[in-house]
Amino acid sequence: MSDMTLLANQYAASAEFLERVNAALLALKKAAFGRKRDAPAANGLKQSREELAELVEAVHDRLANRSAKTALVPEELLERLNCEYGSQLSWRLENLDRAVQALRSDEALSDEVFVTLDELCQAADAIASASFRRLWRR
Amino acid sequence: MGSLLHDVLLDTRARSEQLLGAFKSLRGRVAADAEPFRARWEQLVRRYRGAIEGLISDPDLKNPKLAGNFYISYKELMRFLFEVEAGPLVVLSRFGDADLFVTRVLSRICGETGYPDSAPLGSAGSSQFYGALPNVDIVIVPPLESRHLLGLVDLYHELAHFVLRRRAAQFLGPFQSEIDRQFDELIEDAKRRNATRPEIAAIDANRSAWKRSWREEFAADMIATFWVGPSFGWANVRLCANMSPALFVGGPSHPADAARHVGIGIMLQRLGCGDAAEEIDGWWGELVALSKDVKPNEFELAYPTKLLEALCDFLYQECAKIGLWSWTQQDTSNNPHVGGLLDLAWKRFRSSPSGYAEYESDALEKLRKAVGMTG
Repeated sequence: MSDMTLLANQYAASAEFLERVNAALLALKKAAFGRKRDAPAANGLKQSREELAELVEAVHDRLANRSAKTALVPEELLERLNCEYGSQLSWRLENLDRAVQALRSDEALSDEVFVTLDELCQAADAIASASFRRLWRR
Repeated sequence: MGSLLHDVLLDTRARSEQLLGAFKSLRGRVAADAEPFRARWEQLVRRYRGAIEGLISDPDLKNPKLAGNFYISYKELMRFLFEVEAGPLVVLSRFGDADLFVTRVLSRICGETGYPDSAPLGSAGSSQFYGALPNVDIVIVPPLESRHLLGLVDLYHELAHFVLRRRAAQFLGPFQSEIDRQFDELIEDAKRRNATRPEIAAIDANRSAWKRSWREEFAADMIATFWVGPSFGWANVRLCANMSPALFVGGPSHPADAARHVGIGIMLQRLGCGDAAEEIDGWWGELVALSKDVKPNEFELAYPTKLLEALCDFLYQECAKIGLWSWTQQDTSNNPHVGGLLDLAWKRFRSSPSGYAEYESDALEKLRKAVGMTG
């Protein structure tokens, strides 16, 4: 395959992951901080929480060198997080784990959990943006 | 008063309307084969325009707690519009005879192999050899490829990339643990023989390359071989003869060509095409001798045969699960069966290279007629 195929594949994978994370997080934030009348219905929220829990769990498991069950995490994202977390990896993993537990509970999400989710979403965005730039703006 | 995000969304809405207009204007002007593709993109652009409208009118757009996520949504929409403009719109606007031929050959190959989705559109406008653009459902080939047969085998490799991308959770995800398991073993072995830190780091870098892109590249080769048999092995040697900078050296994006040759051979053996695999090995040996490239000592550490065999077994099973037909399952007597035609072309080229050009011209004409191309 050409380099274009490789870049197109990397972009496709990172864009798909980002879209899932951001859509689910936006739905949860709208419910928590937005105008209530526009908040997604309870069923939709439950789905967003589970979707996000699955994705965050996959990131956690891959960073902890465990096989992720279903969701695929772009390798570039894992490399970025590994680099970013560095010596803080163990407590960052704990944060990710806490976020997964909170998402799977019926409790309201705390500010700390939203910070963890935001950081992950921003890292996924940076990867997708960089990979798009490599694909189309050379 | 607006905001930066609100303002750029208005600009994006205008762009989406122009894009929509461009797709509408192509209605009735593109070949009938490309019309479903055009209609699909028109519909998708309309849906995205709706999403832009949704963002513009969202009462939370200026909420600082949500702004970052809205900005990401905006960038996703922009990137989509750009990809559609640079991909489907460009291809459809210049869609000609060579594109139509590639599109019809792709469609026929999809029918012959049990390819599970609608066939992608072909474009003979590539400046970068063959390529697959999974997000926009396009396969690109160089302009003159529609006048030759031997290289068309690479279409199978590009189609395989679509299967891998769309079914990543089935075809790529589960193999992750096998990569880890085998590289963990290699690292343990290295430690036992007191390998240096850089040596161990090099093994780990190979593990990362496998997960990042090598796995997918090997898998696309193996699925292509699963579909079209020995022709893919022959075509790979020809491709390496034409383009390989160093047969035994890989990079972060592509594994070494020699390792890809091994992977193709393993799938050929799995298909019961061991004799052909040996013949292809012989041709490969000639190339190695010509190139004077030497296999480095660490080659097996980067491309463990056991890992390639495990990948082959895994793919063989997964391909069957989604109903893909292997080379040996396909009825090549259907006239003309594209895979069968390419197999014959490669046999003819190998047995009589000097008379091949005349043969190819006739065979291509037959294929063009079979896919409804005249002139």
